[in-house]
Amino acid sequence: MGKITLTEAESLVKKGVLSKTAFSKMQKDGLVGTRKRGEKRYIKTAENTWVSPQFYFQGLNNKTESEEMKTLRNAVNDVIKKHTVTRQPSK
Amino acid sequence: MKNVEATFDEARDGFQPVAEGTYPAHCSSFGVNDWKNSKIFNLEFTIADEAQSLIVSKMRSSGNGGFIQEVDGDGVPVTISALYMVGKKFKNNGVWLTPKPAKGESWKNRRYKEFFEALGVDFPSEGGQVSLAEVEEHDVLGLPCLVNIKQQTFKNKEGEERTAMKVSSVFPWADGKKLSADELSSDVPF
Repeated sequence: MGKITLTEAESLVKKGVLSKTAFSKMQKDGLVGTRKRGEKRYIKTAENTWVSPQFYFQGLNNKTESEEMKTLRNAVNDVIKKHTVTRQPSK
Repeated sequence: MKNVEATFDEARDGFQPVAEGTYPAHCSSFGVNDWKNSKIFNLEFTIADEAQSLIVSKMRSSGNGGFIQEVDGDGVPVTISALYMVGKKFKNNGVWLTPKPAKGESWKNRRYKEFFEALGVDFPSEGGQVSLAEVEEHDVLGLPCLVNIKQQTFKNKEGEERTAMKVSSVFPWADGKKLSADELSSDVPF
């Protein structure tokens, strides 16, 4: 059935649509994502078109990320940030 | 030219595209069709008053039939109140029930079970085995839930590609209140 993103769920709590109790239950039932997505980053191709880099662990299948995986993710994000921009390509 | 009291502000009164996201809603319409040995449940959801407190992305036309996130001069995404979403109606993708699945094909009813349980339907279960029953209108009309609205692409009868905003997923809204039939039809002008 999919999941609500953590950001959306937190926004529903903040705006009083969802109580903290209901939010906790949804988290327990696996209906809420577990981490926030960073702002989308963009980089230009040689043909001057915009693309967005992606990093993920293939085969994760609902397993929990280890501390080393988190360290790797942070390191990769730092490299991505260094070479990309957040500006929307449509602008 | 004669003066009238009416005004029009594009920012306030202009067309505002629907922003994808998760909104509080109520089930406001129920339909079921038969297809061979299966039943297809088509529901409609009305965005609840509580959505007005949410802040969502402001969308604008992309110029090629779609919509994209509005950004300000610094490239920062623009957001607006979701007040304009209140009262809007969205249909779900049909949910299939196979009342008599062939041996080894009970998985076909997984989405049916998950969809209606998320909506608040309580199927009886014993020893981990859930007994599915055919949901009827009075079981779901007025039930509160959170709906995830997403743009979906389809081809019409003429084979042309079209898009529509539909309910892609339903989640429990534990704090939502069930609406009565009177409350559901309160927008009927007679």
